[in-house]
Amino acid sequence: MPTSPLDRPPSLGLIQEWYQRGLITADTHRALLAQLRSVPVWRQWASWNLLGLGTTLVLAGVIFFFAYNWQGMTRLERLAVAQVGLFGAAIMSRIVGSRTLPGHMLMVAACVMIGVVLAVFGQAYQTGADTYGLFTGWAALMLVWVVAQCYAPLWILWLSVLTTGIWLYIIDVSPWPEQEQFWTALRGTALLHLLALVVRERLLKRGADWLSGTWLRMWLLLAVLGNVTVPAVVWAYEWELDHGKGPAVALWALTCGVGFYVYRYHLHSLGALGLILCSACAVLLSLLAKVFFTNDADLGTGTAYGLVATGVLGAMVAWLQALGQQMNKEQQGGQP
Amino acid sequence: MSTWAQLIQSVGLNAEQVESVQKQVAVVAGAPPDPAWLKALAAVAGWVACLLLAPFFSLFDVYESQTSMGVFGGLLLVLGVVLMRSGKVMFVHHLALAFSLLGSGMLVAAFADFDGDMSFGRLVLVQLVISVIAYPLVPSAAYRFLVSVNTAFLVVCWMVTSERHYYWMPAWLVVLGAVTGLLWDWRARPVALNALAYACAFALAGTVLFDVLIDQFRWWKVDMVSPQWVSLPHAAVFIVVVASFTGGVAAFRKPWMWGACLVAALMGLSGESGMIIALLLLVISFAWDDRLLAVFAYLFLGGFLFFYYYSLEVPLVAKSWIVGGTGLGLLALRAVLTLLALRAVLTLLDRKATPQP
Repeated sequence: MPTSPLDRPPSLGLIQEWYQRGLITADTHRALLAQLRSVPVWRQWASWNLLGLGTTLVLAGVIFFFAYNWQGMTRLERLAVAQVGLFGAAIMSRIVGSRTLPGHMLMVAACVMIGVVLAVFGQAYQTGADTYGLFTGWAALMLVWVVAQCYAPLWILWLSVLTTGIWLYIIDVSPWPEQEQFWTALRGTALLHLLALVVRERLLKRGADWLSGTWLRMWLLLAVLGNVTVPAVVWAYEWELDHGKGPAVALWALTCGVGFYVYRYHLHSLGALGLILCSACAVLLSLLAKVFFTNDADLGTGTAYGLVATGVLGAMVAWLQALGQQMNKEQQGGQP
Repeated sequence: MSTWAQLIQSVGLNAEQVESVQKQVAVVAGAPPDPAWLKALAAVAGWVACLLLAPFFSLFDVYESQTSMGVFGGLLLVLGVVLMRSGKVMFVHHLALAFSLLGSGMLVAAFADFDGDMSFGRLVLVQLVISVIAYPLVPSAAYRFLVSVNTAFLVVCWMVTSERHYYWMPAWLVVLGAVTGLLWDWRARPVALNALAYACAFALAGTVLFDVLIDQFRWWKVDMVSPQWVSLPHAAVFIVVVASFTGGVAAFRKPWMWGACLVAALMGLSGESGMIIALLLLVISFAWDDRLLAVFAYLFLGGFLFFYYYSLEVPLVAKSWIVGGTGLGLLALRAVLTLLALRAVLTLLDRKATPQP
């Protein structure tokens, strides 16, 4: 663990801020900038981003094209073109090296093309099957490639496809009563992403470096909290656990409680704590609204609620700053 | 460069410069972390608090007349500024932010309707004047960002109130693009203008999205679609910003820069600003090492593609060529970059292998 501030990684953002504040001279700024944003650094960044954005846009173009359902092509031609894209991308991924960035991108393209092939098949042969079948089938077919590829964005794609399938199943064909469907779908999505988050943290601890991006943690945690905060906020205001909201609220409490402990004392992530506190704050404000507005809702009560809410929001931001400072000190080698 | 120490050593700074950098590094190490997302959170919290506090003033019949609204609005703004400048406590700062926002809103409402004949044009003008006056006075990035975004939002609202006003939309998009490029290109930009730079980037992306979306509202104003040439000035801004970050005019001597110009020109000719703006924001975010802006750029690109899919102005098959073609252009540019890098490495190896006379 670094003990001296000079052993920490440099930050261009800080150098820029010092220059703007006049704390370093223009010459110093230029020299440091030339080192941190040299031509090779720019080239590497451009290489990654051009590949990522280029692939994304080409895939979007392909999806737009097949969605157009162009009558100039027969259905066999459409299917053939989509399948050539699918297998071509998969084979090219093996040729360029499946663990390289172009290989990853080609595999992402292949996985997206599975969905395109299924959709084109659905256009060509209208079987009357439910829409959820397209997405769950897509998720099932790409799973082997997703597992083999060890590439975090591909996992996110898989989770998104599966989540869409789950939502469509619950809304379209599930046996649950209509009032329960929405809450069940939220709960299911949250549970799926919570499982993924737990697996990510465990695998990362065991050395799975491909899962190390902080964005992945934030994405998964946001997906969990986003889905359980809604039922928790409604529960806090209505104070009723009807229509299957109970398990979702329990999941919210569990995620916030365990999440706070883990990200505060073990994994030290201020961003994750920020998300958890925002979620808790939303539920607390809803609960306070219930307390304030149960008996009368005059202007005086509204004002009191406004002041208390301002205090709660201010306290949350202040607490996060204090937590960040504390964690900073601990990581510098102070108290754990 | 994996550490500050290595960086300082490698750039060859003189003793005085080394001392100044080391001093700043030590100061930052001891300071509480203040990431950009926390500032954004404070801004959102301030906005919510402002909305929740607004009913309070109804108790004193403040909203009954323009005079009382103007007086109370002015007092609130002054109170907000005083509290913000004096209070070190986070809560006080937060409350001051809510007061300042509410005060500005009340002032705008009072002046825009002082003779009972309110028009949207006057509302925008008053908002602009109050923003220009209050911006330097209120020392809060969140406040500055929110009033700037609010002004841009009201300008767009003014334009959609009639087809005659909507003719200004292309000019607005061009100006917004140019100002965004200019502000982010200015490395020595005063700290006070940081919020304005973020607000311009945010407003530019938002307006482009709105421009894509507007033809969805066919029941409302059918002809409100900006001409396609608007993307050309945006492409020009993109080229200027890229060149500026990668060596200024000298960058145009590099072959890859011409490739970038060609791709940008094709994107400009395609008539869609969304992808150029996303790329522009990504380049800026990397040049400034600004993750918040990078996340915003990616989200914006996703949102743009989503809404563009549903846009009725361009046929789906044409959209597929535009989007796919842009993607192919970017991939081709990457191939050029890779080839140039390989050639540079090979030339270097050749030079090393050739014995010196």
